[in-house]
Amino acid sequence: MTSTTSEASPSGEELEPPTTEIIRRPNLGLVDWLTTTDHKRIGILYALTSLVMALVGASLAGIIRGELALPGQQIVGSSTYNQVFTMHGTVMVYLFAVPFAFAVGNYLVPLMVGAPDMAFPRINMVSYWLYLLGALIVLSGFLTSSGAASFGWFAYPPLSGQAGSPGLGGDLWVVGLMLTGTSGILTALNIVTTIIMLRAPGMTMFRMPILVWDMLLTSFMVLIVFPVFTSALLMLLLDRRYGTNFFAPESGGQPILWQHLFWFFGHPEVYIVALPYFGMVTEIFPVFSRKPMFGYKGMVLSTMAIAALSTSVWAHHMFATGDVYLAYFAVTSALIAVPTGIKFFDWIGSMWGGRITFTTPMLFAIGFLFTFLLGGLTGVILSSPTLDFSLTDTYFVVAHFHYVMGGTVVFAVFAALYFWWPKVTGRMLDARLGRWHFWLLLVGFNVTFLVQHRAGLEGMPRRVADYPAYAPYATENLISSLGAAIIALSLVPFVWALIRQWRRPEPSGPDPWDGYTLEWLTSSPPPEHNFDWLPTIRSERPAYDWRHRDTDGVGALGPDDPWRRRTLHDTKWFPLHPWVEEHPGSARTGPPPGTPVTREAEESPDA
Amino acid sequence: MRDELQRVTLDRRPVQLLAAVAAVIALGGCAEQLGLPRAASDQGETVGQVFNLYLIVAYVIGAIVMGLIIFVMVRGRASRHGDGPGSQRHHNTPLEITYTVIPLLIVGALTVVTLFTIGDVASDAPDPDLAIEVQGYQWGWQFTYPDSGVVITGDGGTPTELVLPAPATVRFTVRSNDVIHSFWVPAFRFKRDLIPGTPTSFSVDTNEIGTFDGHCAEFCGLQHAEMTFTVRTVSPSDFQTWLQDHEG
Repeated sequence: MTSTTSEASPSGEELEPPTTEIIRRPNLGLVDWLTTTDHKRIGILYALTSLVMALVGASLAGIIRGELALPGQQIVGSSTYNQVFTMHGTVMVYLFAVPFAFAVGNYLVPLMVGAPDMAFPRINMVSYWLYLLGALIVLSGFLTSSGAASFGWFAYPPLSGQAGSPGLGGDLWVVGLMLTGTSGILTALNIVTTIIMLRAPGMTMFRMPILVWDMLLTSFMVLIVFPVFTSALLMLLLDRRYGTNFFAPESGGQPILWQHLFWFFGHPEVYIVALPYFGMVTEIFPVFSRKPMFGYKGMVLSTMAIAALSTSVWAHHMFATGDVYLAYFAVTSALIAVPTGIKFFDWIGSMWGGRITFTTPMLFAIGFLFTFLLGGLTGVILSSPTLDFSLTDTYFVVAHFHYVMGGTVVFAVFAALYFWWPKVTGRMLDARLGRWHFWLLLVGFNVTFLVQHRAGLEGMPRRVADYPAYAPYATENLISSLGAAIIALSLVPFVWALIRQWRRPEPSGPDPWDGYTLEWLTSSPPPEHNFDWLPTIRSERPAYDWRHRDTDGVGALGPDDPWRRRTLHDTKWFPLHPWVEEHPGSARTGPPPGTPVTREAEESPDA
Repeated sequence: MRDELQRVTLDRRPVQLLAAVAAVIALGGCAEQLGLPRAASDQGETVGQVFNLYLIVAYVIGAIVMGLIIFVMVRGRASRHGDGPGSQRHHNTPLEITYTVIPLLIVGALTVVTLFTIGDVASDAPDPDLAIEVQGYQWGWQFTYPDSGVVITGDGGTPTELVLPAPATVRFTVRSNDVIHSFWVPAFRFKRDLIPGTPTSFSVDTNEIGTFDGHCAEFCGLQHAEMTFTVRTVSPSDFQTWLQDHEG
């Protein structure tokens, strides 16, 4: 992974003499990694850290499933159990799901828009280190005598207040999350600026890959809601340590205020977690169907609708408080199903009539579809206050959000890992092991969580360390715990594949999948400055256009050119983002069409 | 290819959907209760009917979409077609409008059902047969019958027992002095959070005689899992006897 500049760039420099002097640092190994401002290295650091966090969260989940496997079973006891489920939620939501999305955003957004780096590389570095520091502070609660935070990942006061949870673990939780929250805000600023300011010539907004759109809209949501959360955490810290009474009822504070502030952040957070992963699978379906993305505009508009609606649904987490206006939040929550449905049909449309190859990333993306479908359907059920009174805070909800936030994220994470691994490392991951990994995870995940719906309907409340032997949901819990073991087992082929690609590397070349977006036009791994040249960008599939530039109707603009038709269509329907007519020489930043596509051949005429 | 796309998706599917939805609405009211345990209140029965409707709609939509995904995958597999490019069609505005409007209609219909039933379920009868004050604390329950002065307090051992007449309209006022708890009787298919500083009330029309489990449903600290109670419903005359036994 570290030898990014070994073969490609020396000859690249000969091709184009630099106009300003480039000072190359000596290769300092670890120090390079610790001081890097390169978006790709920061992306890799983010990915490694968040995957370690995922392992931590998964181990905590293992303890939970062990404890609940049998009634009366005591592996850790109530006090530790409460810490464990609190930290499981905290780690998975705050320290894994969002940071991994930032990892992908960091690595891919500049590549996909044809930029050499993020807009603010040093701020990018600060974000990563703030995240790491915050994560370690949150986890360090386990090292204190009173243990880690144990008030659930949404920390309802008064339980999370000084009287409810006096231990130091709670303070570490609050402070750590304030740091990761700040890190998220900085990253979001960086991503928004990069996307708006650093797109390559020809990369109009409506030619950006959907992943870039989703990262952009996610970042806007982060900018809207993370400051609210960070401020609420500060209020909680002041309540806990400095005697203020924002949330303490005995002195006029309002516990319900925290719920409003938290869920105003917390529900958009669900989409902040989900949207980048939607973007990742959206990049994968068309490539392996040999089709363009179906309904690009609809996809973008539906993402905008979700982002907008998500800030007006927060109180559906509070139906059972009896303190919110039910009808309004019922309507807005149910409405989210509509843009989500559009996305679903766009994904199906992207495969419709395609030539589908079931590579490992495609399998995981399809696994994502099934998982998200189930989670979406139970989401519609939960959006109804009539039903939510009965179902909220039961295992039905636990199952629901593990489908929408757990399964979808995990399937999309693996889809992304298998898809972009060759780009990041230059090596392929074994396909056969990948299939094993996929099937084991699919079975394990559904065995674990499908029965939890039933446990919830039968009356199992969430966040209990134990349940009586006569409970009707005892069998469901045993099945669920067995499923968790299958999930753990599914990691074996994955780890094996990692070891295998490390010991017997199988070079991938720049573009093993016949990809569509710009990152596939540079070497694997990409050089430090990402691109030596860029093709003309005429659609959201510049690499596809480049590959088929000699095919009729793809390369050149003609009277019945598909891209010309697309231009007319876009100008008519989306006048805010007109397509700029490309003049030869002004919009093109690479060699003219006709030059061979591989890097070596591209460099040879001048060399 | 294009013709096929439009024929299958534009014409056949909505018809199937409409037929299915009509069948669902017909079934929803009279089908057996799906999923949920037996209800012990009028409100619970309303919840059960709405749940049936939502669940059947979810099953039907789930089956259609899952079928569609599998159909597309099986039909489009490259091993069947060879390795050429697929259809390069990238949008179809009428189709996209269709699959925006149909979910909107379905969700709209479901939401209307919800809006008409919220009031029935989260009811608050002004003139109940019996008033109960529920106080949650870490980690137990106290049930007060203000009209007769009977107070039942949990002793930390056996689950506290709440005795109610059935059939009767019972109005609960819930409060907490320490942290947030939630009063949940699965058989009533309803729960209400106990927010410190903000007492709220709701009413339940009991209609079944029996014994039902109750839990605290909002995580409230160390012994949250043990914060259970039972609800025993008895006939109104038995209830009067029980009250007299516990008075004074």
